[in-house]
Amino acid sequence: MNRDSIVELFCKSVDSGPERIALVADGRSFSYSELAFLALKLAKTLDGRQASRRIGIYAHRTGVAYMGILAALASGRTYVPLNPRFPPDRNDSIVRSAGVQQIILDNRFLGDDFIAKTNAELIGVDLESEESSDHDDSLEESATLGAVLKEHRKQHESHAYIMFTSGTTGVPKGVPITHANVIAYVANILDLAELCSTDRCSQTFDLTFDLSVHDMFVCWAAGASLHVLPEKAVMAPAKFIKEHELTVWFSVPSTIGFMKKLRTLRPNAFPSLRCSWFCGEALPAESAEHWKAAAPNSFVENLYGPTEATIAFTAYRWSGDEEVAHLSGGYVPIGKPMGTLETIILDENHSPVESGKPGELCLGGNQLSPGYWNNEDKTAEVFLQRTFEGRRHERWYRTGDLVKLNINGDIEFVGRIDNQVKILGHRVELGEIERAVRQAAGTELAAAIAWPRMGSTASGVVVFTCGGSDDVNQVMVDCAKTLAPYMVPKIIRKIDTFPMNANGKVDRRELEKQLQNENKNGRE
Amino acid sequence: MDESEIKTILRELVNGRLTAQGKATDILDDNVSLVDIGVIDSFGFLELVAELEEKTGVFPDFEDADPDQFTSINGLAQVILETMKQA
Repeated sequence: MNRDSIVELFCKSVDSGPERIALVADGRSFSYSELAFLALKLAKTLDGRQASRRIGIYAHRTGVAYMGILAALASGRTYVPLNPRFPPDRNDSIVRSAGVQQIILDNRFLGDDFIAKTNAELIGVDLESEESSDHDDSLEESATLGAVLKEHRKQHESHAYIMFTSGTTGVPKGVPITHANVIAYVANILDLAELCSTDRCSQTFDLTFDLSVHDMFVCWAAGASLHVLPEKAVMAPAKFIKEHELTVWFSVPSTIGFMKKLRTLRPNAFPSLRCSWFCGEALPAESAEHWKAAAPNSFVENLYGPTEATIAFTAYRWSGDEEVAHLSGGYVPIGKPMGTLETIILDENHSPVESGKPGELCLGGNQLSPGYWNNEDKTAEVFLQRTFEGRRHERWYRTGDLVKLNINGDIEFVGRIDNQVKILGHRVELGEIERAVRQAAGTELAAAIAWPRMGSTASGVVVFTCGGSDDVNQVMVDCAKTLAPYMVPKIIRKIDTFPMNANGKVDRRELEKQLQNENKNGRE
Repeated sequence: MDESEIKTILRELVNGRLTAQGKATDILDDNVSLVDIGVIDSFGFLELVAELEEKTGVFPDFEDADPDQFTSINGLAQVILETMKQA
């Protein structure tokens, strides 16, 4: 079994440049040696308390989050990110599903409802009182900090982290990702772009979004510095990019749309950038063009991949010469698989489609998760054991994404085969929202529509109900107790009857048409 | 248009949202981020700015504005005043 740990990517940079800046978060800078020291100290606390194998992280955009993740990993444990922005019940559901018994807590969240109700043991960290000068001399005598962190690798868990994504049953699905998965990913990304120790990289994603793993470990593997955007700067990052002279950018494409609308995406606004990656939702060609003009010294690369296949799987570098009119839906292609990874496009009988025909994208290679956490049925449903002519891999993940190959052999996104949507880059199963509304409203009939649309993504959700509670505001308040903020319906509309399609199912297109018509007529 | 007029327009726009969300309008504090207290999300902020432009004729210049400030009523009013000064 491969025993390499992703912590070694960090340790290598601790050894090669301990004084270099590893992290800038919440107005404080941490050198590689300082962050390693803090992580090591916390790792020893975990060992001292005989913490269990999976550690929750309840912190947000401060040093505690990053030292917590490194401490969990360095001590051979799996980290499970929680989110102070999630309702307490959602965090609690993740803690119980993952069997988390200890949580590393940023003490600034000590008063949160979730912290008051959780049964897990809390390991509070107060960064203000953590002094980097509090060095243990014996550590320095025995070995470098990097080497000490590595000590734990002998017995580490194969899972580096478990991310929870929206699930149709109302319970978030756990996706465990191994150290080997992440190591393969980081190598693939660093083949696309050579990062170096003078790079300054963005950290835009919440830790509960797996793209945050790219932010941390691609940056630290290169010995570069990670600059954490404050919550509100993620929405309007122009000032932050300029002030921090960022050289590497990674965000959802919606950010470009925001900046365009706030008129902060001006030509040559960001000359310091040299690498720009976008992932999480379809990238409109127009957005790629605008970004390229604002960051003329940077490449613009569209990354695609589901959590189950570790962060991103395919890549397409925007050349600027593409004929936008020829691109499917006006979106930048998702490109080709990275490194030794493979893709195949299958029809509904799981046979390969003819080139150029649409079908479900399936992924094979060493970035695939071992399968869902404690959910063998779901794993068997979407992870196929199959051989295909011309492909080396025998295990495939069915993404549920409808794609086709274009004449250049690049994959283009066409749509979804199910009711999963993207809201601000977050994967959302409409069924999970419908279930929450049905429960809160006391009705059997609820249909969620991603609305309003912004290209292939949406900014929120509208839910139609039939019967049940008339107090729609209370229904929304009750939904907010279990759903992540981006999943809470913006509008709940009671109607007398649901439009049905020929198959006897709720006609979602008809409901969406109603919203479109209302929009045209000026009603909200 | 002076600062108090801008703030009045802003308060009206935000109060409309609070009412739609079933929240009391007297919770509004001019210094608190509307994003932090959940009155608007990032898309809601864009909508607010667009409505503000319709009512005031001014599109705030956010290029050098601090996102930590401009999501409160006071902060956003200041950005508009600065924009008007530079026009």
